[in-house]
Amino acid sequence: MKPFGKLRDIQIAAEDGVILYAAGESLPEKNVVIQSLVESISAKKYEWLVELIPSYDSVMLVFDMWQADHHSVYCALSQLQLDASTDKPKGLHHSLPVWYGAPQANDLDQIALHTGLSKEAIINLHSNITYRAYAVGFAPGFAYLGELDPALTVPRMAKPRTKVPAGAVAIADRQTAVYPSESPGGWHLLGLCPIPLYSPKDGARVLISAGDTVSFTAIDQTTFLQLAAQHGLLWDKG
Amino acid sequence: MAIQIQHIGLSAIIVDAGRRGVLHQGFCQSGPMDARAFELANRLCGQTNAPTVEIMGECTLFVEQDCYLSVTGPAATLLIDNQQTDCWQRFAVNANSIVHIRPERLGTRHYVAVPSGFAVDAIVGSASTVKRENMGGLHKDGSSIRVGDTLNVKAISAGLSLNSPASLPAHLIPKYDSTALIGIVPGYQHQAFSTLTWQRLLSSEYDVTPQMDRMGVRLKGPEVKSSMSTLYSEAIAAGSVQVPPDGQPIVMMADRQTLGGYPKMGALARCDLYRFAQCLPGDKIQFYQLDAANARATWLLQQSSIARWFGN
Repeated sequence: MKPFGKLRDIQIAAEDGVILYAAGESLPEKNVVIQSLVESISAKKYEWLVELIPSYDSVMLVFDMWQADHHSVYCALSQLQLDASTDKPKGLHHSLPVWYGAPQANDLDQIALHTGLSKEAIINLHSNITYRAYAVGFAPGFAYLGELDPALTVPRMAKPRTKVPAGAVAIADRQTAVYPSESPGGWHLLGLCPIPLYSPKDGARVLISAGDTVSFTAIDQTTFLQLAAQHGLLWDKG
Repeated sequence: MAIQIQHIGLSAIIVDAGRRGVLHQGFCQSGPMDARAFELANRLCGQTNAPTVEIMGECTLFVEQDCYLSVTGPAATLLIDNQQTDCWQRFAVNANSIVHIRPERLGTRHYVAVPSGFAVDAIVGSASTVKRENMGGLHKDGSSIRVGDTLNVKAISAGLSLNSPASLPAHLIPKYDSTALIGIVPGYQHQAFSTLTWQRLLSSEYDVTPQMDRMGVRLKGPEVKSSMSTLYSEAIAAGSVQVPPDGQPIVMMADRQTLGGYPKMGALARCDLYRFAQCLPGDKIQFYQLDAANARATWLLQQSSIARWFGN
């Protein structure tokens, strides 16, 4: 299928799916294209749309085969008036507190070894940037946030942990994330966030959506325990 | 009305049609592996999408009150108080009866449905059991049904009509012939696989390996490698055929993760995916290529003939 507008490619994903790839010089530029596309498509509330799944530089649409086919979906999309001025997608901003160096999630020593930075410098570099949620996946509410300062780039762990605690703030390559629930994971850990990103009991709400922005602020242990208690999270002291 | 689980061979889990519209939040699709057998089990009980039990291996149920049941899936022996009866129909079961299901091949999936469905709470829009997310199912935590568990049946609503057909014509009963070809719709990075590679995929036999679960099925056969090395993670459609660097394809199934970064050749056609889901380790499968329009038309035809039989 012939791409149009700010798209680089359009491909069939399955008999009920189509995937659009953004054009652009850099990842942030491509992701802005995807986000504005997602906004325009969502606003239309197409009856035939079953899933709309954005990621870094792509978005997949799954359609109801009784109501649409690739041709009709392509026609609908090519008629979208993509707002050229949408350089700033209208995502929400989340300011997340982090207890850096929390003993349950602390790889600051290894990160310092890798990067040659002091712990203070690591924390400063991590909390100085406003990140964009490029994609949500891997687990419910797991948001891939980018991009990290190049100086803070660390590879994934050679041997992933079998258990990373919920709320662990982690980095890998040029990305950062907060683990929404306890899970295995191969990213290096910086500390803990007391705000739940995902509450399975609360109608399974997810805090961060692709396109949102996120920043981190350092808090101490006392504030962490207070905030955690407010959100009904139980942590062992220490 | 309740049914007690007295014996489980391999596993028994609650599934409904799965989630819809939440994949962008990181929730996997979930739902039945064999969507066709699931749908027909429900249809025979007068509905299209109610919680059913997906069983693997033998299963014994104790039925406390008079009720109707349907059991669908590949070849199996079905006994009600030691009296043999047929799958693919709705049958009456008297109170205090024992229903025993014994699949012919160990590892295939069978569906047990009741009119109105089993009473299991939905979370994110589905009652399906998702082990990898610790969500859903009878125990609400993604765990399987255990021996001794009691499954309550939803009260039969007044609107539910058991006038719907209680059996299926032969042409609507799936054949589950593992030697029948499986359709693949080229998509995603299909152009990054050379013509020669495509010919190799379409002219070779692939073994279904024991590395299979509700997330994906790993195949083994002649290598199919792409010219792509890096790829940003992107959404994975149901039945996607992804190829890791070792060149051995993995078919992504109901509980697949929502995003992944391996190149994909396309996706298995929905009209064959349910059949593929019933293949077992050691089965040899062969692919044929069909385009998206053809795959969609074939699936719609199959679905229409089911709907026509059930009068809607």
